Amino acid sequence: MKTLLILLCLTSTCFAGQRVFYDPVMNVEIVDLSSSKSILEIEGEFGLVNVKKLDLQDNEGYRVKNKKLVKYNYVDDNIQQKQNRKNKTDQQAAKMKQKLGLTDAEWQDLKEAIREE
Amino acid sequence: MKRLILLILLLTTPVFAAPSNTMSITPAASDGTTITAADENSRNNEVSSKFNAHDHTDISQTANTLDVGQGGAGNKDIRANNADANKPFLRYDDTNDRWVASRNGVEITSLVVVTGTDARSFILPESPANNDILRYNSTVWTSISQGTAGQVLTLTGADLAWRGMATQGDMDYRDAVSRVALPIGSSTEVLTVASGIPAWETPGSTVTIGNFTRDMTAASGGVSYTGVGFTPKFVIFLGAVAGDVSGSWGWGDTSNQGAMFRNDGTADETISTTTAINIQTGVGASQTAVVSSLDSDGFSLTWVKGGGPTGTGTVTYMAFK
Repeated sequence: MKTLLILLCLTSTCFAGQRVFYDPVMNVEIVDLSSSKSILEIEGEFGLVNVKKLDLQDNEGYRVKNKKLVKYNYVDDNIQQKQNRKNKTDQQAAKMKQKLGLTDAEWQDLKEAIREE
Repeated sequence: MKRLILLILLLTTPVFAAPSNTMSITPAASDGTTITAADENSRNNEVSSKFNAHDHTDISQTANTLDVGQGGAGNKDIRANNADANKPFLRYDDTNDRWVASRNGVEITSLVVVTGTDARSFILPESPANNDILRYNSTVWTSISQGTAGQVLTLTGADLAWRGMATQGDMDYRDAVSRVALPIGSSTEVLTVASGIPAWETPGSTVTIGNFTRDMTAASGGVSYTGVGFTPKFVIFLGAVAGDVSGSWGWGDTSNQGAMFRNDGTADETISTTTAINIQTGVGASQTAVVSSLDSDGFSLTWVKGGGPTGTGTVTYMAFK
């Protein structure tokens, strides 16, 4: 299973960009996995009349913001989010370490002990 | 058939023409004796009494008509006086108003009654062969010879005709009008329906693999995914926020969902029987999805956001036809 996860992570940036559609009136979100359909085709397929289209390149994701499709680089975003979480965790850990008055070695031992739990 | 009945009637008539009484003229004349008046009277009486006693009520002939029967109700038989104990007969069944015949005096079969007066109504084909089928061709009764092995009798235009299939593996089906043949397909082709009739086609892909992203901060709601190329039977999903401990391995159709996922952003693996995708980036922070419908060209997911997940999940899918 871990192999599958690794495969997923490796392949997730290998696929070609996607085409997404959004009808702001009906608030309907559609992802064209073939990246080949036109607005007219999507409107015919889903019975919509106000569809907007957004093409995504590799590493680009999309969001619906204020009833509009917005694209962003999700790889960079994920790195940034992860860094933000790490920074927050590091700050919380430093505060805790300070409150407990532990040395670096003692702090590491505590983390190991908690992990083993 | 009428002619046959008449012929039998004529042939059997002499049987019934024989007198029922025996005539014996007495006294017999002897050489050298005298015939007296009494002798003559005796002989005259014998002749007249036998003549007067003879009864033609049961069988009589008027012009060209031979009547059988006493003029009352009941069956009327014409019987062959042959050597058999049970005599064959031709009978008018007065109860059922039909002609019957018996070839052995026991078993009775009804004679076919033919309506119509011209020859085409009752003349049957001569010299029938094994498995011949009687057929009327708008003019006369004729016969259709048996077909060959595997052939079927079909109506072709206005006529009945035998039709076979030329090649091993051919099949028959009905088009808008009649029975027609579907020639055997090629190796690996499969039988499908195109425009309402059977047709061979090369099977298309039965699995489509691809991926899509999910903004982990997106609100709960449905998303349709199209462009798969067919209506899937079910879909397998592998998902995660790359770089996080957030793996999800699941599958779903509209009736059943299931996923193994890393719980609360930790390495602890947990099972869900109600979601097909379950990506968790922290404690209570998740995006989960169920397959809400399998569509003509893809599938739809209903996403539910839990807590405050961050990042963007990438989901690889395998859709099975």
